[in-house]
Amino acid sequence: MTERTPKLAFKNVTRQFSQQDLPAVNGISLDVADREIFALIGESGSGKTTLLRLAAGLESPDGGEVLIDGETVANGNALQVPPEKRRLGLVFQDGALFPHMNATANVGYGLRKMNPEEKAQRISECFETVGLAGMENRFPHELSGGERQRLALARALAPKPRLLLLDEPFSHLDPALRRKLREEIRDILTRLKKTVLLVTHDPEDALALATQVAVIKRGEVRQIGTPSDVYRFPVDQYCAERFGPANEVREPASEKVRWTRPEDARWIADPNSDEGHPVTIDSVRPMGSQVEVKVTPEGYDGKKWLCLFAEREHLKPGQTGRVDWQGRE
Amino acid sequence: MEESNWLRQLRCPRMKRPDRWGVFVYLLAAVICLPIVAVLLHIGRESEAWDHLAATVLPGYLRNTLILVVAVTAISLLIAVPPAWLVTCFDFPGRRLFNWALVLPLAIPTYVAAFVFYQLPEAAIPLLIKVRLNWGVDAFLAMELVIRYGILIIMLAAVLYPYAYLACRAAFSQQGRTVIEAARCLGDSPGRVFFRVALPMARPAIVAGVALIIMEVINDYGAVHFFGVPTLTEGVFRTWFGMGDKVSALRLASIVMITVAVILAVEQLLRGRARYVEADTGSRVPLSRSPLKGWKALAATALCLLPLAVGFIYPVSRLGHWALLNVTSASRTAFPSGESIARGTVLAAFTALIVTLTAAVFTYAVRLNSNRLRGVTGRIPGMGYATPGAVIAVGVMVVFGTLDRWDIPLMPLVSGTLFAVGFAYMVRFFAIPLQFSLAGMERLGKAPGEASRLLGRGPMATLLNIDLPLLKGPLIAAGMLLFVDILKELPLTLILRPANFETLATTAFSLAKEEQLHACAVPSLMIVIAGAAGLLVMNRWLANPSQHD
Amino acid sequence: MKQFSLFLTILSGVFCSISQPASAQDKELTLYTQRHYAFDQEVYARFQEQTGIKINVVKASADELITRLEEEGANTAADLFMATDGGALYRAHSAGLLQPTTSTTALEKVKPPLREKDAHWVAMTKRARVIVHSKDRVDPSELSTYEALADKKWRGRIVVRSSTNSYNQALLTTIIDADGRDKALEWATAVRKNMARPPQGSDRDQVRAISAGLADVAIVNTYYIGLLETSEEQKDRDVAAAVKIFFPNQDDRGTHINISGLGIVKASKKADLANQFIDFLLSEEIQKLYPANTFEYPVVEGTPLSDRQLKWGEFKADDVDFSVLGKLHADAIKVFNEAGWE
Repeated sequence: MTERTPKLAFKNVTRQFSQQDLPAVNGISLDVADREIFALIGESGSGKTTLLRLAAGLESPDGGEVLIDGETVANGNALQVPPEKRRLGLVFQDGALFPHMNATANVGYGLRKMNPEEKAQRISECFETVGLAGMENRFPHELSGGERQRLALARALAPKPRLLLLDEPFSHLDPALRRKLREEIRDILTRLKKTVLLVTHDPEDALALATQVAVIKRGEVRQIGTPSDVYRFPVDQYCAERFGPANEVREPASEKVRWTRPEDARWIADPNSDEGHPVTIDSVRPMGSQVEVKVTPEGYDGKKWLCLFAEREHLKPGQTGRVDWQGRE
Repeated sequence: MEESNWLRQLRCPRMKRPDRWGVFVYLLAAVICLPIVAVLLHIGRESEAWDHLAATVLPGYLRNTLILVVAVTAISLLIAVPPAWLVTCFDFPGRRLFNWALVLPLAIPTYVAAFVFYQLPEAAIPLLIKVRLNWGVDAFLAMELVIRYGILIIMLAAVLYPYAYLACRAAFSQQGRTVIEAARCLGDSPGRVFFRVALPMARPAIVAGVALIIMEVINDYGAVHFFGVPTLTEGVFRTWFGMGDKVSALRLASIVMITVAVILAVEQLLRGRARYVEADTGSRVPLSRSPLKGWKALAATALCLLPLAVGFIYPVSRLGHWALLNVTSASRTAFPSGESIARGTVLAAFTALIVTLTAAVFTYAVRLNSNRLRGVTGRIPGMGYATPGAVIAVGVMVVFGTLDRWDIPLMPLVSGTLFAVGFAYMVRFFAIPLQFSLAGMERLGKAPGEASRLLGRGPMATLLNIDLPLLKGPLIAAGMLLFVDILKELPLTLILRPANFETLATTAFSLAKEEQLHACAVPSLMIVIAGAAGLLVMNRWLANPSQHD
Repeated sequence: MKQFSLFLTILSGVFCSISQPASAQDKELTLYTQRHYAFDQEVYARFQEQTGIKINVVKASADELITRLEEEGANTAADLFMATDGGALYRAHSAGLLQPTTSTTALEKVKPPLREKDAHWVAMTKRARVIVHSKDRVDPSELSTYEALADKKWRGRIVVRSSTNSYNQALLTTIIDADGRDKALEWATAVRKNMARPPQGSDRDQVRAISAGLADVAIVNTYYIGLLETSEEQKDRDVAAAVKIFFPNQDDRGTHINISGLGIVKASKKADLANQFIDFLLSEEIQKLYPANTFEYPVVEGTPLSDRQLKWGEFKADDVDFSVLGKLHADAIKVFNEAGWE
C-alpha cells in the first residue's frame, strides 16, 4: 500500500433507505488509489450502485465520510457537497444522454466556463478520443447502442473530471458489442491514466478492465484484491461465484475449504492413483474444443463439481476416475 | 409501495433540514391547502339547520348523486371502451379521424350541453300529453321522470366519456402487439381476445378514467340545476347561498370531498404501477391494425360515430344554428365588450401557463427531496380537484379577507383582483398539471438530471436545461387541458371575479339566465372552439411526446 | 434569485394589464347586482352620459354577493348592492352591510314598505307574481287564490320552478306570514303533489309548458309574459298568446309583489355619487322606461304604466312588509324542503 493520499476514500460509510430494511451500504471503508481502475462487483441489490452514487453525491450517507483527493465531500448528516461541485464524471447504465441535444451539445454541456474556441477544441478532442469523429451533429437516437455509450463517455470526460465513475456501462449492449467496446474503453482509460470507479455485475468487465476489485455483499466488502487474486482465491462461495462457477474443495490434510475453477481440474483416469480425489461422472457436455463435465466427488454429500477438460479425454457418464485441482502456489 | 415508504419515512430518524427546494414544496403545499383548510375549519361549528337537512333533502341529494354516478359511468364505459379498442386495433373507414375526434366532447362544458339538450324533454311534451290522456296522471308523471333523468344521464355520459376513452386508448396501445398475438395464437378470436386479455389488462386505466368521470359528475353544478336533479353539489349551493347556512353547506361539501378522496384512493390502489399518461412507445413493437371489411367496418364506424354525434356533432350544430340566427337577427343583444372577454381568455391562458410551470417546479422539488417527501406530501396540493368550486371561492375570500385585515402593504393590489381569481384556479386545478408532471418525470427517470448535476450544473440550471425541455410534451398537454378547464369554469369565477370582468363562461351563463338562447350560443360556441383546439393540441402531444426536435 | 424577482415582476405586470385599468378614477361606481337584464346596461350608459360616472358591474346571485360583501369587509370595491328580492335587501341590511341613502327622491317619493324606514335600501321597481293559465283549458272562474292551487282538482296540472328561486321563496314567506307555518307546509306539499313535473327551468319554461299542453296553470312573474309577447321569435309570441294572467287573492290580502331595489354599501367612500345614482334610477325619466322595457312596475307614484301592463289589468297588491320576507326566509326554505319541493 502506498502512503499517498487515495483519490477516493470511503470511511465507514453507511446508507440506510428505510429502517425496516438492512442498510444498503453498511460501514464500508475503501480506498481507491490514483490511476487505479477500481471495480465494485456484487449481485444486484448488494449496495454497489449505492456506493457509486454516494461517491457521486447523488446519495448522502447516514454515517461516515467520503473523501475525494483527501477533501471531505460528505460527512454523515453534517456535510454534503452537491454533485455539481465534485468535478466527477459519471457514465450511466443507459448513457442518460440528453435526447433533445445533438452529440456536440451533449459533450459541450459540462464545458460552460470555457471560451468558444477552447470549448470547440475540447469537444473535438473528446470526439477523437472515443472514436466518434464525424458524428458531431447526430442526435442520440440516431446513434447505435455502442456509439451512445461512447458519446456518454466523451461527455463525462470533457470537463476533465478528477475521477470517472462507470455505472454498469455495458449492461445494455449485446455480448459481441460489449466485448469490443470494453476493449476500446480499456485502451482509452489506460491512455488517459484516469482513476475509475466501475460498478458491474459482469465478471468479464472486472477482469478485463480493473486493476483492483472489491466484492460487495449486503452492503459490506467481502474481499478486495487484484482481479486475478479474487478470481483464483475467493474467500468464500459468494466471492467465488461472482466470477463464474466454482467448486468447493476441502484440503485433505486440514479440511480447509478452498474454491476452485472448472478449468483448473485435471482428469486422472486411474481410479487408484495417489493424486486427486475419487469421483463419478454425472454428465458430459461438449463445449467447442473442451468438454464440460459434471462429477460427484466422494464424501461430499452429493455436492457436484464442474470441470472443464480437453476433448480428447472421451469421457462417459457413469465412468469413475479422479480429479486433481491445480493452481495452488 | 409508495404508501409504506412514506410511513417508514415518518418513523425514520433521518431528518435533515430541508433545502430551498424543500421549503418551496412545503410552502406551496401549505398555500394551496390554506383556502380549503380555512373553509373546513367551519365544519365543527353549531348548525341548527343540519338536522333539518338530514331529515328532509339529504337523502334525495344522495339518491340523485348515486343514480347519476352509476348510470353515467356505466353508459360512458359502454360508449367509450369499444371505440378505444377499435381505433387501436383495427383499420376501418374514418379510423384516423375518430382517433382524435372522439376526444372533442370534452370541449363542451356540461352547462352548455345542458341548455342544448334541455330542448329534448320539451320536444317530448306531446308524447307525454298522449300518455296522460290514455294512461292517466301517474303514468304521465313516471314517464316524465324517466325521460328527464334519461336525457340528463345520456347527455352527461356523451360529454364525459372521453376521460374513459383517453385512458382506455392509452392502455390498449400500451399492451402492444405481442400479448394480443400470443392470445390469438392460443386460439382466441379477436372478440374473445378483447374480453379475456385486452379488457382485464386495461382495468387500471379504465378505473382511472372512471374516477375522473365520477368527479366531474359529482362536482357538476350547471347541468343538474338545469334539469332539476339536485345532487350533493347543488345541495351545497342551496344550503349556502339559499339558506345562508355556511356550516351545513360545508358539511355537505365535505361529504363530496370525502367521497372523491375515497374514489381517488381506491383508484390509486387499483392503478398500482399503471400510468395515466401513455408510456414511451419508442422501443415497443407497434401494433399493426387488422383491417375490417364489409358490415364489420360499417359497424365499427357506427360505434365510433355514435358517441361523437351525441356528444359533439349534435350540440355543436345546434349551437352553430342558434349563433347564426343571433348574428343574422337585428336583435339588440348587448354583449359584454369583446375586450372584457379577451381579458378573461388571456387570464385563462396565463394562469394555465403559470400553474403548469409551478407544478413542474413543484414535482421537481419533491424529487430533489425524495428522501423526505414522498407520496402524500407531493400529492396534497391536488386536493382542490375534489373540492366544489364554490367552496374554494369562499375559502380564497376568507384567506384574502384575513390578510387584508392584517394591513399588509401591497395587499390591496392583490385581493379583490384577478390575482384572487388566478389563485383560486390554481387551488382548484393544480391536480391536473401535477398528475401530468409526476407521470412525465417518472417516465423520464432520474438519470438525465443526475447526469447534468455531475457535469457541474446546479439544480436550477438542470431544471431549465434538462428536465423542463424533456417534459415539454406532458407539460404542453397539461397546460392545454388546464386552459380548457379554466375556460369552462363557472361557479368559482362567478363568485370571485372583480367588476366588469367576464369570461366566456360567465357571459354564456348570464345570457342563458336571461334566456337569450341564440345570443348565448355565441360565447358557448367560442368556448367549444377554443376548447377543441386546446384538446387537439393536447392529444397530439399525448400521442407523440416529442423526444427530440 | 434574480431570475425569480424578475419573474415576479413580469407576473404582476401581466395580471395588472389584464385587470381593469386602475380604478384611481373617482368618477366610477362599482355595483354588485343580482339583476340580469340587457336593458340595465342602457340605463347605466345613460347615467354615464349625463354624469360622467361609470358603473362597474359584478353580477351574481344575491346570497353570493352578500357572502362576498361580508368577506371583503372594509376593503370591498363595491359601492352599491342591488337585488331582485326585498328579503335579500333586508338580509344585507341586517348583516350591517348598508348605509342609509340621503337621496331626496328616495326619501320623498318612495315610502315604506318600498324602502327601509331609515332608507338603508330603496326599491326601484316592483314585480307581481301571478297565476298564469291556459286560455283554452282553464276558465278564470276556476281560479281564486294561491292557496286554492292546493286543491286536488289541479293534480298533474301545475308547473312551478324550483324552490331555490328567490321569487318562490318570497311568495312562500308571505303565505307563512298570512296562514301560519303549518298551513304553509300543507299548501307546499299539496301544490308539489299537483305538479305535472318536478320543478325545473325558468319562469318562461313554465309558460311554455302550458302552451305545449303539459300543464294548465303556472306561477310566474308578469314581466316574463311581457318578454315573451315582445320576443323577436314567433314561437315565443305564440306561447304568450296561449295563456292569460290571473291576479290571485284579490278578495283578501292581494297579489304577491316583490321588489328590485338597492342600497349603498357601508364601506363605500363614494356615498355622494351613489346617491346620485339612486336619484337617477328613481327619476321620472328612468322610472317610466321600466314598464315599457322590462315590464316591471314603477315604484314612484304617478309614473304611467305601459299599455301592455294596463291590458293585463289593474290589481290589488299585497302590502307586505319586506322585513317579514327577510325574517321568514330561512323558514320558507325549510318548508320547501319538508314539502319535498325540489
